Amino acid sequence: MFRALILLILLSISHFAIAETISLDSFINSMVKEHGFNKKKLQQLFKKVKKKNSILKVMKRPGEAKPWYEYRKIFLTPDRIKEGAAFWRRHAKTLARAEKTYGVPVEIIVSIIGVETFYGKQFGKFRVIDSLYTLGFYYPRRADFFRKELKEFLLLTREEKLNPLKPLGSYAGAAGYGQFMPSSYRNYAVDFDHDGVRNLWNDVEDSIGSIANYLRHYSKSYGWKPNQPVIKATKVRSSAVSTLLGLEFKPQLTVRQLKQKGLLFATNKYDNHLGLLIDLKTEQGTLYWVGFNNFYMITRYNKSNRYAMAVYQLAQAIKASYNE
Amino acid sequence: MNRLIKYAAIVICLLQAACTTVVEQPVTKAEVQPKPVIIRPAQQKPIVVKPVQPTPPPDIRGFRQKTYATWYNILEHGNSTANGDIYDYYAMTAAHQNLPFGSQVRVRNLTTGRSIIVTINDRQTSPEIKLSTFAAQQLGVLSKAQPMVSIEGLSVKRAY
Repeated sequence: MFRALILLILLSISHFAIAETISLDSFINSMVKEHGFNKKKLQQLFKKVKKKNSILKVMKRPGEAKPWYEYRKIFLTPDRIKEGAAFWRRHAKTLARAEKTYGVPVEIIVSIIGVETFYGKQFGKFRVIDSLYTLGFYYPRRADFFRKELKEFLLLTREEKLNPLKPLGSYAGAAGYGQFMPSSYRNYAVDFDHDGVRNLWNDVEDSIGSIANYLRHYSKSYGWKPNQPVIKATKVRSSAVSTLLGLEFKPQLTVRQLKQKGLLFATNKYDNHLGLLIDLKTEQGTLYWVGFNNFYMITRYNKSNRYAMAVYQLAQAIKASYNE
Repeated sequence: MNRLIKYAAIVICLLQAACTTVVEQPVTKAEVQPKPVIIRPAQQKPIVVKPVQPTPPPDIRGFRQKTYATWYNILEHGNSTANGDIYDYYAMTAAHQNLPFGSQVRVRNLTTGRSIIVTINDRQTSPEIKLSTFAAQQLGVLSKAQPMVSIEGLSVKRAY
């Protein structure tokens, strides 16, 4: 009995050890079958791809559990504000054209680039293909997601005639000023400078246009709405907090409906707007806001209230600094 | 219907005759009912014509004041302000006794020399400037006893 158990354990261990090669093979096979890639060439390509243990280490670190008031200090620094205004001045024409074309305010675009890459200074040093391969085959929790992005990356580099071993990005495989994942790149990138290619790695104009396009045309039901509020302070009946925070994270109810559930919002001006209750921890305790459609759109970039609020507040600070 | 046209004609006449002094009648619930808008003689309030462009901030260059700074209580987050905004803990705003709404002022901490820019969007009866909690924190006056500040009006060229 005991021996059988050991045998079983040994078997399962060896099974884990070969799991990777099997799935890389099946991954390559599906790329050949479904997308017409050359099998030999793909096998040769993956011989040059490296598993990065440093990436797996980063993923093991406890997630960003920082409360909002600590989190905001990472992004709302005097340097990031000042350099945001400088980036705005450097690319004023392109940014204004993006706002005009897509309705997304300049300061929101600049802020996203500031939060994502410090205006292009932090693109990440990993080869995108190494990151996606490592996470797609050695990070079981989200392997499916990253293998799909690896597929998208191979399709993308084929479409854009790029060498898949060249592009660099973050440890998660996001690339360029706006840190687009390959699937977003394929779906939302635009050739904003009309030079015939969509280049998010080196081309700041394409990056600016693509970020605005992503926010504006995110999906059939949701997209940035020009000239509408992002977020407003509110109070909420304490007995209604858990109900309102427990709603699905999508702006599906109007402010009027939220009020019926216990939201204490100080104006009737936005009664017909869709909204969400947002809670954030300040130094002095938890405060509440109504996040509107456009706040939700920022969370489509990174599904986190703290992230979206940081982008919004940095945008306001950059705008004030630019105007000064 | 006829009545409506008649009143509309009166409104237009009045507008043309006294372009800057026409009174905008505050619309109460009673008047929203079938009755059309009533035009009263033009002495009460001057009309505020709403331009399509956002209003530029009032020009308060030259305004100077030395006073204490106070700040909002955390429980005021989410309250209406006197100009119809909603007070936000993080907004760079302030309440002042008489500066026009939308005025932008530089507030300087006279102990440290540090300064911030805030927009006036609320009223208070006392002569101190009442800063948003976050503005007070940025200025380094939060929780200080009677911090002395100077207020300097800024010019209109700043976009609002």
